[in-house]
Amino acid sequence: MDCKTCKENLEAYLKGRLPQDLKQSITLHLKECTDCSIYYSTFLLAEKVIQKESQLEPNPFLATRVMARIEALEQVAETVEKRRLFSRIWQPVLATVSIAAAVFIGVMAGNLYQPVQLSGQIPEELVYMDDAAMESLQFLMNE
Amino acid sequence: MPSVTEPEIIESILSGNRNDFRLLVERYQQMIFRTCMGYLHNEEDANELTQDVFVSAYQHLSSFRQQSALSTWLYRIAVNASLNFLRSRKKPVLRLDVLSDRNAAAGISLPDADFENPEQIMISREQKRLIESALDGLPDKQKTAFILSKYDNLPQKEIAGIMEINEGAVESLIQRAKTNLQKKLMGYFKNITSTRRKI
Repeated sequence: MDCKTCKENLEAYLKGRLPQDLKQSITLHLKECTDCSIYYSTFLLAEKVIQKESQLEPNPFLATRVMARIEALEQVAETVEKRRLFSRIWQPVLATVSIAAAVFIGVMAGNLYQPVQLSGQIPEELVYMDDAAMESLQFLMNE
Repeated sequence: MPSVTEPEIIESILSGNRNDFRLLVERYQQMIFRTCMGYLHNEEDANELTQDVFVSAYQHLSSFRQQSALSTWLYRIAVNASLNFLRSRKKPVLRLDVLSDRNAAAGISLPDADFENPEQIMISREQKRLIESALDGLPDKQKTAFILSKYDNLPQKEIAGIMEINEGAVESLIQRAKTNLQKKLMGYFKNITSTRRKI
């Protein structure tokens, strides 16, 4: 048996799919040929690692965790949607109501204002404070 | 509900029955987990990534046009998620030549080729890491074709559907992956043998 034939048939050899005579000649070749023996060893090792990893089971709570994550994501999405709805509808409504309330309060405050009723006469004590009467403008200009 | 078909489940989910998605998770979790394991080689990471795959599938279910099988669509998501995970992880590259010298010095030996039954081989942690590292070093397409073939035992036709290439290309990718793996591992084991002979 040559190395090429041996290597080509190793997978079938490993899985027990070879006829008895071919199987025997490969077994014999593997004992005699170091290169093919190393090749077969790596082949076996890789098969074993892959077999071990592919037989592992996922976490038994995986489905529950997935559903919990989906639920949490949907809750976040709902909150975002509510906020979007608030900013799209309620925010302009609130702004309008605020402006209307401010105008209303302003008007009401304006109506409450009572103007001071001034009498035509100057109180006696202020008469002396009328500087214009004490010193006429004409007098100042001639100076 | 065992008699309910997949399109009916999908329709039900899309119409708002969120809990029906659990049926799909339970049906496909093993297969997605296995694929993720093929890429990540770590149970915890593979479980996390499997969850991510299903959450992503739920979020994009409305874009699934049902032109392929649901399993094919899920496999595609799993493959992309795994490759993205590996890219983002930026794992330090394990140099096989350095490993072999270290292992030889530590007395780690080659498995005995006289064994005919793979069950008889004991795998050391270092040897497992070696195989994983050799797998990680494969180009993405070769790695995907190899993992879907070896871990999931998928026929080439299905792999071709997932990878959106023809069956001949799948065959070629798997062969190249095997050759590359053997080259890497042979180099490593030959190195061990020669180092041990020197010792």
